[in-house]
Amino acid sequence: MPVYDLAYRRTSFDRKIGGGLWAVARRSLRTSLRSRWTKILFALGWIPALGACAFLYIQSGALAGFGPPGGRSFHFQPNQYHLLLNWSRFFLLVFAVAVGSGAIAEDRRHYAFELYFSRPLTSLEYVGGKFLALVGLLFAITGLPALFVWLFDASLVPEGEPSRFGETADLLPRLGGYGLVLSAATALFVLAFSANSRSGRHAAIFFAIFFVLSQPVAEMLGQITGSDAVRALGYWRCFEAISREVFELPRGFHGPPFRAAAAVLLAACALAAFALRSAVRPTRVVR
Amino acid sequence: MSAPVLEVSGLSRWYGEVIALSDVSLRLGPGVTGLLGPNGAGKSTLLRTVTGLLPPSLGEARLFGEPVRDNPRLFRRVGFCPEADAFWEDLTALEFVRTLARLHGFGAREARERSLRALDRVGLADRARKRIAGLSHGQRQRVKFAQAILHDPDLLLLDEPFNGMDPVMRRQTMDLVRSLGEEGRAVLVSSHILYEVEALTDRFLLLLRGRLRAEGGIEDIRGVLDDIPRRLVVHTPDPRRLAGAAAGKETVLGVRRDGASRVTIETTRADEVLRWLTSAAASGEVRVEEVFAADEDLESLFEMLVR
Repeated sequence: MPVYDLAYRRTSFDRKIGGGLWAVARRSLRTSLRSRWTKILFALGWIPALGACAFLYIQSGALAGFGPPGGRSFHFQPNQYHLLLNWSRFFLLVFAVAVGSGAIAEDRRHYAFELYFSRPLTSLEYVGGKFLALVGLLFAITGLPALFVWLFDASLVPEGEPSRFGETADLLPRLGGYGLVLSAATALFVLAFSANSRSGRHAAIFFAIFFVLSQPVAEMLGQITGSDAVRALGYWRCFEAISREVFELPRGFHGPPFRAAAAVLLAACALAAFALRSAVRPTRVVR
Repeated sequence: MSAPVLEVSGLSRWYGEVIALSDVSLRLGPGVTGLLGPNGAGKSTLLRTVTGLLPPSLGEARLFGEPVRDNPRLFRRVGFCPEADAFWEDLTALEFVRTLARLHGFGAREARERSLRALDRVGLADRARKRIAGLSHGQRQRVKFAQAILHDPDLLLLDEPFNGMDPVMRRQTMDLVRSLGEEGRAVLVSSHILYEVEALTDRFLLLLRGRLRAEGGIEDIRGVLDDIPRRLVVHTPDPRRLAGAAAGKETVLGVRRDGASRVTIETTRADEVLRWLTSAAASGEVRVEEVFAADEDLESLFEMLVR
């Protein structure tokens, strides 16, 4: 046997499909959930939903002496879900900064890339795992509370009446879909900043600047050009327009059209994905 | 013959105007090989380039005959122990190693079993459930070592693995490295502390200012340094006579009397001087009690190269 031939010792296990991605996601989730701040912010993120549930409960007349005579008369309409998710966006941003800004930057800072990428792990699996974990966490304080409110609302009917699940079933994909889009896009932006920063703090500051500045800049450009479509460049306005389309509400005052908002969001996501992918690339040969 | 475990050809890496590696070529087979060089010589850069963590500016690294580039599957057969304390401090030693085992693609149960086995092998079985933040520097080094061997790699790359270890830990870890080499694995150990590597193996790669200055055993390394004078120390009852005789030789650069019975001869051709000493002692021209090379240990070689 040739002295260099180690083929007889070849490791024979096969990786499960996406195994690396799940391992990274699990690790990322665990890191996030161990932090006390994550738990506090997570609890805060549910306040609008819990408040809505309390409001619905009181309105249903379930509490003796309260509510209209004859039982329930108030249900959440798409407009209320739109407002609820508007509220959630604030907590979403705070949570995204707290949980996501260090997701990749801290790995880079602590040289954890050396541990990740000296394993049979592709950069796509790494990024995918981080993304998945963050989307999961963000969805848990946006889409999930909204779905919970829907569930609560639909099931809270006077005795003897059928539940409203069937009647309001069309809201389910809208709430889930919009929550997912909101979470995924925000996760992508935060991770792109995180991947291009040396520390979580820097990433948080850059993301906050991006978020805070995008809105006034977009408004200013809208004023100058006289076009509402340009206002979609603002983070808040962009999601506002998408939310209004999802819940079939009329465009707000000077609100950008849905198509412009969708185009801006897609372009921003593509840019963020590119920045993310370029920053996390362990193997590259320059000739 | 099949491909070497590790093959590097014309590898260069620079950071702006700083050249970290310059045209390094080497082949590595099974057994323990020491990667020597002072701090800043390019050892870590070489290891990071070989593991695909850094892109080379020029050249190529191949593992098991395949290019490292875009080939993460190769790392199923590679264990890497980085120099940096790349830890998730909130985890226990077992959780840390198990997490990395999962990244290798092992299922939950197998990852746990392998992690426990690896921690046991590095002598940390009793610390497996301690949080990493509470471990000593030496113990953390061993946790890193455990994650590098958990998947039975064919190639093990260890970047300064003995840093921070106390003498007992260091000896145990050295024994482990030796045994891994004896099992037929290729082990590349980088260190700037020469006696550590000298105690592990007699095969070396010597990096200096980014260039591979020598490779082979001590003798081979010595052989490429013909232009650097070596010192032979001779114990003799008659140092004046020996010094006088040696001074007349063409290959002798200098002679110095050290005390009452010792003469140090500086030469570029130690083999010729040794032959002359043998024949002169046999003929009674000079009297010789003991001869040894003062600078055959690695530390001296290192000093000479850095000079």
